[in-house]
Amino acid sequence: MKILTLTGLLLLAVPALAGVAPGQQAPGFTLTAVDGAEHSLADFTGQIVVLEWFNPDCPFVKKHRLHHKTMNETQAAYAEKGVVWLAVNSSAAGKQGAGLERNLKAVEQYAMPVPVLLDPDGEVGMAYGARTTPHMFVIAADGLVAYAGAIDDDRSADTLGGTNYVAAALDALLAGEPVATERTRPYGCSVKY
Amino acid sequence: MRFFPALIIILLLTACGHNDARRAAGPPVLMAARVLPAATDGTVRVCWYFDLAADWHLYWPGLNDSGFPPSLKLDLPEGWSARPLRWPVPVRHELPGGLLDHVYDQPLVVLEQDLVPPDPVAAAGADIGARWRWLACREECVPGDTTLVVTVPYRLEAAAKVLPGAEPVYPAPLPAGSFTADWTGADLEIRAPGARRLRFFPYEDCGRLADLLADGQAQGDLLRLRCVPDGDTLGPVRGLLQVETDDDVLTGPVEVPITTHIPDRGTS
Repeated sequence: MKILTLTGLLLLAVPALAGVAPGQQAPGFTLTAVDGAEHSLADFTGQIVVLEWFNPDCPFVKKHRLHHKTMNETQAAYAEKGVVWLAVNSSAAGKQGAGLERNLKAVEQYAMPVPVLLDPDGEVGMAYGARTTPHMFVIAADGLVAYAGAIDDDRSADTLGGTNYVAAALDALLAGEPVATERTRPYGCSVKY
Repeated sequence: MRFFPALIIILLLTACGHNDARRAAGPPVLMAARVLPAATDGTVRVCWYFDLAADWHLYWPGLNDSGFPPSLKLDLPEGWSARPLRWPVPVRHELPGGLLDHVYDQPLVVLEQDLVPPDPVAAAGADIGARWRWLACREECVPGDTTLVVTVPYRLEAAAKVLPGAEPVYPAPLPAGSFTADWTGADLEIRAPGARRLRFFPYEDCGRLADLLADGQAQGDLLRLRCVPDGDTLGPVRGLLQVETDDDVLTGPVEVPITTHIPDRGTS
C-alpha cells in the first residue's frame, strides 16, 4: 500500500518523531489516497506542495475544514497558481479518524477537493514530525521545506486567526521572495499515531 | 453545556461523593466555582473547579505538542481587577509517536485566582461572571465552554475552600540553594542534590529545546536539557522544575536567562 522513500533520514528504525525543519529537504513518500490512487511527492517535482495533516474527527480540523472552510478556500485560491495540496491522515488503525471508510465519508462531508492520503503506520507523519491535526508543511519548488507549523494564529477550536501562515508562505514563494515566517507552533489534536 | 449555576454543581459534586469514585459518565468536563469572602486586604479569591470524567485530561498552559489550556474571560464589576490564574502542577502525558503534552488528568482540577475590588468593604454581594473555554481530550478531543456567575459571600463559610477530594498542588518557589543550573556547551545542566527524580515543564515562552520528551525528566539529581541555539544565543530556559526526593515532591519556577552560545568553546 505504501512505499516510503526517505531522503537522507534514518526514520524507519526509530518509531518516534524525527521531523523536518524549514530549509531541509522534504522527505519523499508514496502513499495511497482514499480513491485508490497513489501519490508520490516526486510526482510534483518543481511544484509548490502543501501537506496538511488531517483527522476528520478532530475539532480543529472541523474548524478549518467544516466551520470556516479555511483549508478549502486557501487550497482553491492557490490551486489556480499551480500549488499542489495533499491531506495526509496518519491515524493508526483503530484510532480516531482512521480507516478508508471514515475518510471516504470525510471527503464528502467536508467537500474536500484534495487527495486524502492514508498513512496508518505513521511513517510519513513521523518523518515530517507532524504533531497535530492540522499541521501544515509548505514545500518549495526546489523540494525544501519552506514553512512548517500552524495554519493560522488562533489556537482555539472555533475562532479564526488574523494571519494565515500558509497563505503568507505561498505568496512569498510565488513572488520569489523569502518566507518571512518559516516556522510556527502547530496547534490542534495530537496525531493519533 | 452553556450555563451551570455554580452552587448547584458544587452540591452535585459533593453529593456524588466525588472523592470516592471518578465520574465515569456524562460530559468530559463539568465546571463549578466558589468565591471566598474578601480577605482583610479586600482581595477576593475564586476557585474554579473542573470535574473531569474518567480518562479525560485538560492542558497546562505551557509547551505542549497538542491541545490548548482552558481560557477565561472574566466579567467583573466596574473597577475590579484580576490577578493571574494559579495553575496546579501538571503531569507529563506521553503519546504514541513521540508526542508530549503537560496535562491535568486528576478527577478534579482547581485553578485559583485573586480578584481585587476597588472598595474592599463593598466586595460582598458582587457578582463575578466568567466565560470558560477548554479542550478536553482522551483518545478524542472535545472542546467545551460554559458561563458561570458567582456572588461574593457576605461572611465566612464553614466549608474549606476546596471541594472534598481536591487537594491542588500549586508551584511554589523552591528552597534557596536546592538546585543549580549551569551551561555546558549548549546543554543546561540542572542539579538538585538529594533528588531521586527531576522533571522540567517548560513555559510557552521557553527557548527551543532539542528533545523535551527525552530530556524533560531524569532519574537522579541531574537533568540535562539540550538547547537549540537561536543564532548565537541559547535560552531563555523558563518553566517549572519538579524535585522529587525520598520524602517530598516540590515544584517551583526556574528561569535561566538568555546566554551567549560560542560553538565548540563552551558558553558563558
